[in-house]
Amino acid sequence: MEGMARRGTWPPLYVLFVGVLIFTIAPLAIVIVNSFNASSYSLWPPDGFSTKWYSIVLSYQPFQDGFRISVLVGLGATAVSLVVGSMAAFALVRYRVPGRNLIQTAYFAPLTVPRVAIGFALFSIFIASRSQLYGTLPGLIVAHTLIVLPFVITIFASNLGAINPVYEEAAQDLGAGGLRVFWSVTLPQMRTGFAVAALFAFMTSFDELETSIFLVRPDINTLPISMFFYLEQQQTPALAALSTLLIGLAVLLVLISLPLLLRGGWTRLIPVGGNRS
Amino acid sequence: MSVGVGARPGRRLESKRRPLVRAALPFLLLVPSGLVMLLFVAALLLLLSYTFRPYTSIVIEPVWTLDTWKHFLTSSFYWSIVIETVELASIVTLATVLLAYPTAWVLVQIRNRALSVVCYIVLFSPLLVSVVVRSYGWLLLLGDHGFVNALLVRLPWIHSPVRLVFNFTGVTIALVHILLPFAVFPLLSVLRQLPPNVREAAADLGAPPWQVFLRVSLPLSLPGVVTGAQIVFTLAVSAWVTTVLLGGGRVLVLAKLVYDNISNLNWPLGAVECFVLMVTALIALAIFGRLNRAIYAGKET
Repeated sequence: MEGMARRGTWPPLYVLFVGVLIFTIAPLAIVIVNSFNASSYSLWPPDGFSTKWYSIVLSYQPFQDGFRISVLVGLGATAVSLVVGSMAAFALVRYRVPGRNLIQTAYFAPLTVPRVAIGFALFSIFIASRSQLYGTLPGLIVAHTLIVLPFVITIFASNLGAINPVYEEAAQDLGAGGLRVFWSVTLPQMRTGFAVAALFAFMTSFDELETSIFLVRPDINTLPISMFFYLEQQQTPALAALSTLLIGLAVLLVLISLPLLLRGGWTRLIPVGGNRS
Repeated sequence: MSVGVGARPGRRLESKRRPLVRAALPFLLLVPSGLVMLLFVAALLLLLSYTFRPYTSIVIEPVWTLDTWKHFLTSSFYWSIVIETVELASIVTLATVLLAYPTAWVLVQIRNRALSVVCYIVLFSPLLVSVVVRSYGWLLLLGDHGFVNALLVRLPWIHSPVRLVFNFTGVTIALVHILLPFAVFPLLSVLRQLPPNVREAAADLGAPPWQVFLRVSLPLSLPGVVTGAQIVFTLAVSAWVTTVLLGGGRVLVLAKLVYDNISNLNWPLGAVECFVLMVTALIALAIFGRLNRAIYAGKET
């Protein structure tokens, strides 16, 4: 506990803090331990050691399909929301748009609507408009774009707000056109914004369940939906094995992006951390 | 709700050659996101129209009626579910904020950079893991033959496993876990900005530590508390996955009702429940927003 010590902090708080850390990590730890449980009944203490659940889960067709669909939808939603979101943020931050505050507020509206309501509303309009979007990857990509767009716009807006326009002005004074300025001066400076927004969009889309469940056909499920239905019926350690693999994937993603996140002043870019007044 | 947008006043980027393009450019940039928002609004309006349709299973008939609304609003069963939903969200919000405050407090005090990075990763890593996985983890921990009960039955006064899942308790514990980072984050930003010299001044003037906390630190960090509570409540009131998995069908909340009714093809009733849920969330948002404004107003006087 050295390094924590500072005048005036009540010692029991540290105990509580450690308790919270354990509380936070416990459900993930138990999942990892249980993935090696030899018994099918997920009881405590584990009944022998086995890695059979990993081979079972890797050859389980619904999870294979779900993983493929979730990755495709995640990549699609990330690409679309990054393009759409950076355009909107650029317009709002770099130009004087009439009614800017109103537009900003409107962009946040989807956050206040419960995910199940968004799911049912999109389901209704996909069906009613005969758009063929229900039960398809494009339909899911549209839905996920709608969900992550408020965050993506915020991340880009604070990113752009932190970039000093003096470089853009200098490029202009040297005779560069608007597009050239954007391409070779603004865009390179938006790297951190793109990285954080992409990470956030992909992870949100990959884990999305409450909206997606209204938009899939029974035979085309995303991975979280397949896992949800599996869990409703059985609790064999197969799900723990899959969860452990997903936890490993998330850890890998974070480790890859950690240097960038530590360097890039990322905390300023996280939407919930903003001063909501 | 304006978060971070427009940190710098917009400066018009000048292009001498094509004034028309220059004037239209910002609007062209807003078109794609505008289309997404248009879809969102249209979908909600269609949903609203469904609430005024009669329930005839499968087909939506072109007849207008207030029956679905009447059916919902005059039923004590549905009202009890609205109350249970708000109750669950309130308890979860209170517990989450009570845990988040000391957590954020200690987190900003940690001077050792490596230790601080590790604590951040531990606290925020659950956000990277699917809600299904986290709910499953809690099922394993809290089940009748799970880890927690294996410890509990060793206590001399507990003879049989304590029921911790498929009830209100299990849902509450799992929701607090899932929503904790959302309450810690806004608290971190206010606690980091808390000027240490104000606290030191109070201490130098002879205030004991608890008084420094109650009369200086806590009031100054209240906006973070309210923002955190606002986010947590909004998410808790509409949480579906965790409620279904840990409630095991025994914890009835609005979000579960929406899904169940739509699965039973009662679209009008499901739509009504969607709007009741939305209104509940919006009322909560408004209350928390007003609280935050009151705090700011109180600070200025």
